[in-house]
Amino acid sequence: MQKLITLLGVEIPCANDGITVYMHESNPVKELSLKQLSDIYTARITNRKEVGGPDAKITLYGRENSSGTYVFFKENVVKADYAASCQTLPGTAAVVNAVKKDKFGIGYGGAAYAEGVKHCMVKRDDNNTAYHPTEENIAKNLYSITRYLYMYMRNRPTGDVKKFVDWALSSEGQKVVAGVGYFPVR
Amino acid sequence: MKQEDYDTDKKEFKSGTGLSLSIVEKQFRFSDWFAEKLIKSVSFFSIAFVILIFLFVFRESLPLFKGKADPEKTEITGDELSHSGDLRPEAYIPGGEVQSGEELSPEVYSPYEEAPETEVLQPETYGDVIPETYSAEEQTGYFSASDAYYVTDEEVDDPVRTLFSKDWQPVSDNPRYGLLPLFVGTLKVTLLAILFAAPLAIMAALYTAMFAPRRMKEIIKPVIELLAGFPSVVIGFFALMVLASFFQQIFGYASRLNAFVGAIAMGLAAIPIIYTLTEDALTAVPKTYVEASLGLGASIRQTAFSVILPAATPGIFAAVILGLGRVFGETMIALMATGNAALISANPFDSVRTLSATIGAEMAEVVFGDTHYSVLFLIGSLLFIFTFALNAVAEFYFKNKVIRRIQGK
Repeated sequence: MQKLITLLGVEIPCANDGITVYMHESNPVKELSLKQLSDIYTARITNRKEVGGPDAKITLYGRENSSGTYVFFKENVVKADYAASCQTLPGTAAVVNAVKKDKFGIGYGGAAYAEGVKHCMVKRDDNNTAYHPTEENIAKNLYSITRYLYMYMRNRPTGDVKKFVDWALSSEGQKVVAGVGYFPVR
Repeated sequence: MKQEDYDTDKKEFKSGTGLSLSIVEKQFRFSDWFAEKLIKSVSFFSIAFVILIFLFVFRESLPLFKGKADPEKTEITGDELSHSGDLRPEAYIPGGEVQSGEELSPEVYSPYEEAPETEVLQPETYGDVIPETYSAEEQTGYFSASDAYYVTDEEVDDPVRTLFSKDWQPVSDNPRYGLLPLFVGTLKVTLLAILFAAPLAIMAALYTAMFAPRRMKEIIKPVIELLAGFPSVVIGFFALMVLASFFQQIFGYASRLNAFVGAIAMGLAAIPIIYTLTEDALTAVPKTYVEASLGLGASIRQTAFSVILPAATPGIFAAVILGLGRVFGETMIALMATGNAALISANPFDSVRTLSATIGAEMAEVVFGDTHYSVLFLIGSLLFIFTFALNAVAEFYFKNKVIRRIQGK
């Protein structure tokens, strides 16, 4: 047990990431609830009609199971095994690219990567309103699918490492976090 | 005079060669011996390496068959962590931001003291950020208990039994390692790729060997061989960005990345291999065959298809087998262009997941010593066994029976 504890190291949440659901720009579907997302990714919903779009089959795009996003989305949104028909791609950029070129595609990944695709608004359940993954909504805890990005260290930071970590957590460092498309933790 | 000259010349020549030969033999004996041994040991080592690699790969997959993996491991596995679920890395709070003093108690960092209870080891959230953005309470009633999908089938504790199932779900609460969809996918892609690449490459080789003017041949051959030097990532990226959209416009299939696109891209990788070897086999056919055929009044086309092609069948066959091996083991193109969905279907426009792409995609983050890890190595040994079996069958069965029939012997 003691050995395990020393192996665990130090965990520093340094940024907030909104997991965004990507859709093709022409897609008329504006919002999805977490339940609907889960149904889509477990192939219980296979047609756009059922979530308020035109009559078309949904193509699922996701990440490889070696990806943290894969596990996070599975544990917090899908809550079951992904459908076998979900295409797994090596990298969020590949997912974004695939959705960009597929009118009926849906994908997920960090908000920072979304370029040329539409963000889907996500609501917690049918009684709530749907929100975009914006800085404001994430700070107010309104957008449902968020996660922390961590720095890990073997030991408590000291010296130059501490200076860097403190800088990253300072308002100046958090500005950089926001600049690259993630969301500040404070 | 002349006779004498000749005799003396001959004598000198004789003695000269005898002398020089013996000197040559003595001088070169050691280096000859050395080179011979070197070549022998290199070839021996390559055989030994192949066997060693296979043994290593197979050994890593052995825990699957032994049942439970032994608990002593060098790293913390996912299982261990989930059993002691409250063990988390400690948080770091920069000076002045400390919420409550207890987290900074020295016990946490000392490896020698008894570990305090969980509240210290809980992951710390930081400052003003509330961690429960997706807490359990908010999502209760998300699934009803009767939900057919959510209710997992009976817990399978023996992963070996799931190897023959139809699901490939290695990262799951109830992991299933069904290899069937991976096999179907690999075979589908390999077959399509060879059906695309082999005829094209053989016809191209026949053209350059028989019909093309010399100048044309000097252009075509190096250009096709240049394709062999293309890194497979580049071909994969090309397939991902260009080929997939192009073929979707033609065929209008639903999933943009599928077995067909992957097969075309892998075919591009296999064409130069098949082409080069086929070309060599065709040009190695004795000139007398061509001369005899033409002399009997056959046209060049008749000669090419009825004489040269059958005569070169063993070489062409070896070329196709090598191309097949290349496609079978191709990882990067499969990873990028086939969509990697583990489906079992006969439709060539469905997405597939190949064996090698599965290893390539999942090996990076798999827990060392885990069942998943062993299964990936099992896939590796299976890939090896299949290529070996393919080559063996080609060598011992086809060469004797099929090729003789084609050649009319």
